[in-house]
Amino acid sequence: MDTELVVRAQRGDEQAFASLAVAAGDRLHAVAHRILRDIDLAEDATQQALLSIWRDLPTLRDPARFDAWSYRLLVRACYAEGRRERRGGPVVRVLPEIDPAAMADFDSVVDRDQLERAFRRLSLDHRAVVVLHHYLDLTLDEVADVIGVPVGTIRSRLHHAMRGLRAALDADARPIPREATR
Amino acid sequence: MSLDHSSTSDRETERIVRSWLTEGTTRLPDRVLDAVLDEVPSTPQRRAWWPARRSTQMNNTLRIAIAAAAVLVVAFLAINILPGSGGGIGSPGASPSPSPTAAPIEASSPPTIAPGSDAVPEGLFTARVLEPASLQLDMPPGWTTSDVAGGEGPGFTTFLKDYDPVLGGMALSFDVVKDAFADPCNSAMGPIDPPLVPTVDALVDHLAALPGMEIVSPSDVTVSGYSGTYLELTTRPDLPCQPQDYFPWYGRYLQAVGELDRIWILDVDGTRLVIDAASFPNTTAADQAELQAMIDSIRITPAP
Repeated sequence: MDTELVVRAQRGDEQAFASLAVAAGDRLHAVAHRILRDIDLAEDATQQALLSIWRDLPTLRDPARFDAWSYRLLVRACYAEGRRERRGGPVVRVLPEIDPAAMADFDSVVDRDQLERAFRRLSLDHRAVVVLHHYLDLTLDEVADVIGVPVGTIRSRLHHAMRGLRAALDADARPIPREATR
Repeated sequence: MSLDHSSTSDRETERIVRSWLTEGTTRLPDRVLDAVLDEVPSTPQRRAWWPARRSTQMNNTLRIAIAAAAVLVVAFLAINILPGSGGGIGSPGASPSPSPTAAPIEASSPPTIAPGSDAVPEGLFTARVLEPASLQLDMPPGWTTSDVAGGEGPGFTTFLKDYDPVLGGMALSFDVVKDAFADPCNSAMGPIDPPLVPTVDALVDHLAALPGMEIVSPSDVTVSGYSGTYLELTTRPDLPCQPQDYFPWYGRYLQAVGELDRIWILDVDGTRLVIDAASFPNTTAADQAELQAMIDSIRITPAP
């Protein structure tokens, strides 16, 4: 990120902030969408995060840390939007009935749906860690800095989350009793 | 995405999850961006003064020792260095009027705030608020700053010590004030119209007209050779909105009824600098003395 733009925006330069928002908007939205798994919630979270960035930018001491700091505000916005989500969450596409005989040809659509369902079962805390680490490639120390908790907690959350996702994938690998498909 | 479903190893799980995460939207719709940019002009930038966490607590013995040392320093300065600055704390006479010819304090390697730390190093400190001009002051021990508290940087610098509207404590901030809101309780109404001209008098007039604020003792003052106006603002109980929603100027909001803000508004080569020493009814005399000593130590050096 252009630190000069950050500094100018810190001083209240709205044009500089507009340039920052254009540059950062897509990646923030991509992260929000991956955490929240809902396009509308992700748009709302990104909008709130960008406004928070503008409002709190003068409090950022080191402009070079803009990216990490912006992720912190985005994750907070995701938590807020996630809490507003209706109980039961968005409608999930109904899976096609699976023929156990076709398990060898298990297709990627099912893989994605299983991952989607397993991921949605994770808490927002766990989702955020997975996305920051495995999508943004942040180190665990960097994730801890963004989330604001000790790195040991991040390590624990990541382990828990990945174990849940692996369990979902492994469950797919097991033959499905026929009665379960009726 | 294809899988070996016999058993999903940790590494394979990670590979699958990483692959899956790359799928999906990455583009923020223009209408969302437009909505953000539409709101920016009516969204004030925040300079939160409320510390994210309590500053490090000192034990009473250390607190008393530092307070006593601060009193001695102030007494020494008053007697030996700053003739004419013998007024009481909080009075206009107490405002710093160091000699315009005072030489800037030299520092071979000015201390800086360590990355990731809130602690402001003790000793001569060079603040970035007036960059490229230099503003230096003597920092006693125990002061902090933080991103949440406003931080230290161009255009704005704030320092806190035990800052708490109930318990006391104090804050010292430096703010290059450019604008103010038409309604201090409703920032959504936007800036005042006509705009606040960049003079000391314009800001003094604006502050004098604020509802719910008691303004006393406007008087001429000189700090490090730069002239301006000194005044005191006290937040009254009849403030028309919550203190945290009240912006006397752009970016600065109040903390509590009874808050006292001792303000120096200076013209620093065309830049309007506001020095704000904030305290509360329970702020001790020793704390006030320490604050005054810091203010008295301020040296401003023009950009090279």
